[in-house]
Amino acid sequence: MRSCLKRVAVSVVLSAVVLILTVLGSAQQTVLTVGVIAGSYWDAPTGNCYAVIDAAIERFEQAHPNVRVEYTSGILKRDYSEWLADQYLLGTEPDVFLVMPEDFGMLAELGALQPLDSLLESDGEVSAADFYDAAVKSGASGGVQYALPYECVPTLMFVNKTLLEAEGIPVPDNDWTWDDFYQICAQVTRDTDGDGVIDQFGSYGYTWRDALAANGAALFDENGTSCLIAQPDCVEAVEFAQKLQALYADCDITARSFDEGHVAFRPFLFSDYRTYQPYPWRIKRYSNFEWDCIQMPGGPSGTGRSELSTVLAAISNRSTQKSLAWELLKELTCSDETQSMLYTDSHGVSALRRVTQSPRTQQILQHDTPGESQLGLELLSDTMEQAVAAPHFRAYDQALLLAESLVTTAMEDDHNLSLQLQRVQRQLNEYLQS
Amino acid sequence: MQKDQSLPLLRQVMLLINLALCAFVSAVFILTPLRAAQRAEGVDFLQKLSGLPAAPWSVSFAAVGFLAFTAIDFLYRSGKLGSGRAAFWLEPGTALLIILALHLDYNGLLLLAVVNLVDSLHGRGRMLFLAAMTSFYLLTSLDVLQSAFGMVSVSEYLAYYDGQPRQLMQTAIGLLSALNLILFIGYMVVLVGRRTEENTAIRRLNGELAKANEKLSVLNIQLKAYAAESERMAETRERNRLAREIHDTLGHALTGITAGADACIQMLDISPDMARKQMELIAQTARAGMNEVRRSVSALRPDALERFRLSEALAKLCSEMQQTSHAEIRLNMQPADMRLSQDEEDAVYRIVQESVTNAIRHGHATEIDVNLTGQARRMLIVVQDNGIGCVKIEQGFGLRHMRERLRLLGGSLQVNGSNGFRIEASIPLRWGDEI
Repeated sequence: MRSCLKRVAVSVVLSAVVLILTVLGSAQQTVLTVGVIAGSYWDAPTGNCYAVIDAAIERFEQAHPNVRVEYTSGILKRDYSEWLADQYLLGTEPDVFLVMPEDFGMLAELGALQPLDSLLESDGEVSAADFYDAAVKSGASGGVQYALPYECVPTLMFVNKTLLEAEGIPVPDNDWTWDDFYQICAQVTRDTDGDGVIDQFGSYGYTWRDALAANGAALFDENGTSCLIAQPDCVEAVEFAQKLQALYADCDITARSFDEGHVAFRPFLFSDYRTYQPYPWRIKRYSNFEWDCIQMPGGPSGTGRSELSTVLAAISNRSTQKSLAWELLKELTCSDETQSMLYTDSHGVSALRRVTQSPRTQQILQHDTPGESQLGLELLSDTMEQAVAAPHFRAYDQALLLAESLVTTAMEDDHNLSLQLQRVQRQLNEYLQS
Repeated sequence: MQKDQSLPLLRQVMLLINLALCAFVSAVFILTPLRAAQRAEGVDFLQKLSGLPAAPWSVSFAAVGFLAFTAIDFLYRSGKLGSGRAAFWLEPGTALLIILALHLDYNGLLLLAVVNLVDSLHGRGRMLFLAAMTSFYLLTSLDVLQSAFGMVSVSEYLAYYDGQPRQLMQTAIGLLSALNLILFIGYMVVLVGRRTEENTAIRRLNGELAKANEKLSVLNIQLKAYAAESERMAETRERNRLAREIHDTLGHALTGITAGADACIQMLDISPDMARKQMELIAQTARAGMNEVRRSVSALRPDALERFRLSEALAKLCSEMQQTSHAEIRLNMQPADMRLSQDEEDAVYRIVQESVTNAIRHGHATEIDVNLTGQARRMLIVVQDNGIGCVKIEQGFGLRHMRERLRLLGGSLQVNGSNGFRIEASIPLRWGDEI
């Protein structure tokens, strides 16, 4: 009777020992897997898209001789979300991986990501204060830090210097405001060749969302439980966008208008700027006018200027090699070598203050920028400091789509905007709470 | 016979249903993520979930667990695991592990564990077991617990499928769960029914016992009546004995008086002195008879025996008889001192007294030999006279009483009247080995 029980116990212990030995045996060569996106998240053309990652892995493997880091190459941005989701479903997700902003909310809410707060606290080398606020905030959800910023791209205002010069208007300072912006736009929007059709415009592509960011207003609260579009600062921003739009009523402005030099201002991603600025891109695309970048204009109520787009890096909550994964995550997001390579081999901005503000970065940026361009350390650093992070929750993308259509409709209506935005807010709240 | 099979049959069907359900739920947990990944619908699938789905391989714990559950049940049932508490709780423990591996989504396995084990427990142990299992069942039914463990329920997995297949699968799970519950209730009902039948049988046996008791009490009453009856019979016997006693004492004395008076009448003319002496003897005999009667009424024991030992009493009896009747009476007792019980002494005394009286009264004997011999466990009384004897022996009151006395003692009586008169009485002695 007892002997049978004993036999069962002995066999269980034996199999456990065999299992442990197997695990220990394989631990001789630990393998860490990394998930990386092929190419740029912001669709900027790059040379070797794995240059930064490969270098980081090489440094990591040198520091940890028994560890091998592997990644699956060739996963494009458009396939990456699905690939990551599938890996999670199959239980084969990488230990460390890049997280696209649109996926972060879902993964954090599912509990798929390892919370990093305790790791950050216990680690002496790294602190959240090393990063720009908006960047580090993009990796937090519900007050918990789930990811660290790997690469950021802020939005800047692209200025047609040739057009402004022709109108006798100086290029605005970096601390310019909506009033300056509107005044210039109103001034330059006119018919230049006298055919009765307006053919020169103040701006293209400046939306109510840009205005919201500039005014320090948020469309949703952080947890994605309610919409804030009827708040005074939001209404103010939408009113400004409406006012700006009214300048171009009945006009047909396209991206082509800007490319041909008929538009004074256009919001532009930093990555695009970095792509087209150096020779030969510079000549190829915008050959008929001089251009430059400045910060987005500030709104009356906020200190923020633009929304920051951030690709994050995170650790899987189910990773069996959490401490190694943390080391690798630090190598990707917190090491000066890796982060400064973003300026040479990619088109983003490092979220690390000390890297972005370093003389070496300054050198690189100046090397790429000919002439008297304003883009320098100060502009970049200021933009990063004043940027805001978009909220992260699972339904964000869907809610944003709905908000776009509802707010656009409200703006097209001539009636009381504030009241209409209240209706929009109610509709969005209903959506969020359903 | 069919009844004995119903419980194991229910249990086996329940085991099959649980196997089917666990297999089905496991299949949903394994195949749904695989299918979503294969169709590149991972993001859509994940969007609808409340938590991160477990890796498909983790569900294999449930399969291993179910195998272990079945094996443990078999071993425990066949007694190979012993009867300790640890061996007992192994099965519910495994059930809980399987339930955890299946995301707390199917806890009907606990019902199977109850069905498997409830019969081996009694009294307080069973109450504790059922209470524990009930709390486990309630605990594992809590959705809060599911979300606290970050487990994703099977219905969320099923939400991935389109309308009809989803409904089909939900219906299948619902039906099987309901069937499991119904079988569980059925099992319990049959079990309770079985217990009730046992109780009824016990009550029936109790009833029979009560009936037997009733009969016994009737018998008791009858016995009491019988005792009263036998008391009455004893009374009658006593009356007969009294009559015998009167006959023995009064009859004996009156015989002596009559014989003496006859002699007196004859002697009165020849020698008045002799007659006077004879008269005194008669008077003495009459007084002795008087005393005998008094004693009979009061103590019911021969007076002589009351005052003397048997041998002395017999010697006195013989000498008195010899004096009143002029017959020569020779008493021979071997051994002289026999240890007899009181009723035996009474009987011996009366038999000798009656025999001698009869020899004088009816046989007109002049010589009487009285022999008492004790042999091994038997006393033989032989009284031989030289009287007229008789060809045909008339059974008188005296002879009949002698027989009755002897029968009471288990003895026997033989009489022979061909040569004088001979009486042979044999009494088995209770103290014979001590003679």
